[in-house]
Amino acid sequence: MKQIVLTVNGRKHSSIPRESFLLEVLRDHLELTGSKVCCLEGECGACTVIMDGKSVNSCLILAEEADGAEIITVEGLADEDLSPLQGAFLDNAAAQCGFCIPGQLMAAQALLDRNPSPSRAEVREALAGNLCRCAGYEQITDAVLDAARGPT
Amino acid sequence: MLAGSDNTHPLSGGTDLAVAMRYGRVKPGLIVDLKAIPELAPSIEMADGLLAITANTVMTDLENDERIGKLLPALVEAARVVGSVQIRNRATLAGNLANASPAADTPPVLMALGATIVIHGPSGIRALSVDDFLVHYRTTALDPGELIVAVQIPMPARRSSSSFLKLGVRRAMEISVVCVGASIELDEDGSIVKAGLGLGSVAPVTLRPRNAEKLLVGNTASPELFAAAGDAAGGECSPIDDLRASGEYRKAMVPVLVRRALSIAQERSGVGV
Repeated sequence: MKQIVLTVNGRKHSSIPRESFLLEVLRDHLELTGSKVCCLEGECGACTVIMDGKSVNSCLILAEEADGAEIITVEGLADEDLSPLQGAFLDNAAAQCGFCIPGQLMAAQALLDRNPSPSRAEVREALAGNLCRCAGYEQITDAVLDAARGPT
Repeated sequence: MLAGSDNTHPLSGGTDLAVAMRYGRVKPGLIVDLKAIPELAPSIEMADGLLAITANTVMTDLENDERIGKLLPALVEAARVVGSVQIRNRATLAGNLANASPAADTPPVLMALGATIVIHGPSGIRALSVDDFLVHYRTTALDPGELIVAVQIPMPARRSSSSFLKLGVRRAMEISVVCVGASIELDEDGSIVKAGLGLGSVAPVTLRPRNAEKLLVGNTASPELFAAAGDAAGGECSPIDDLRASGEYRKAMVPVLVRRALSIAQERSGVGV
């Protein structure tokens, strides 16, 4: 049987276990634990990653479906320094407990990639599938808008 | 392959199947990933008076299609309230039909627009209307081995339009309390030539209120007529109590939403307003 091959944060991985979901492949097999295990039914967004340019719930995708895909997880956002979006989250104190933040960042990054200057309403819409149990929605929205405006 | 066993599941977006698998409600023997079938690749085409949407077309494809936004606004309105962006990047229109939830957002619109579901199977090709396809609660007319390959919607005539309204407890990530799809076509004098309605979350299956539709056709569009159609639709539904709303509340909201949806559709048609 053909091997499953994934490109995650620019690195190619083979020998991906079958009969597993993408979230578990990332966390347990590739030890990238930024994507969180939470509702496991596509409600909360804590497992959000960018797959072939689109934000998706990695908990709902089978490893086989991701074969050949290009995936970016929260670990792939920063290089030496934090990404501009991560910097804006820090500046706006957008993380409280922090559990939802990897998912928020990836949903927001996917938005900014397709729409570099979103309105407040568009940010809220793009992040509607990312729950924050600390209810820090205003700071998170502010951070995304700040990142879109660029360094001041 | 699909016909091979009772326990074979087609997969496209997987936003329903994956949850069912996680919770052990479904234990597939074999999964057939429809995304590997080139003929079903996402595509929205207009030809021969029909808009054809292939089985792997996802909700965000529909939302972002400017032609649909202009010609069939109800479809965009319904597509953009299905779950989150993450869900809509995976969830397909065909899957929303095949899942056959009575609370699904897009089937009421497809019903109102007179859509046809194109099905391929071991015994060939057939096409069904939405009301013939949705048989009962979570049950479709698909036989073993059959697949939805496309959804076809007639291109709207002149002086026609559509709308979709959804009532929920909150604005995003919400399963409807009641949702309504409406489409009307008028003549130049404002008389209704054709009317289509679909109701979600008010019966075991997406409901087509035929009495309300009959009341509309042949009459001049007016707030009174739309109110009468709304009342008729309310009488045709049989909603249940659940955690989102009581049946009584749902029944009371159907006339309001139907009336409003029809007014919006008329306004968009540009006739008699």
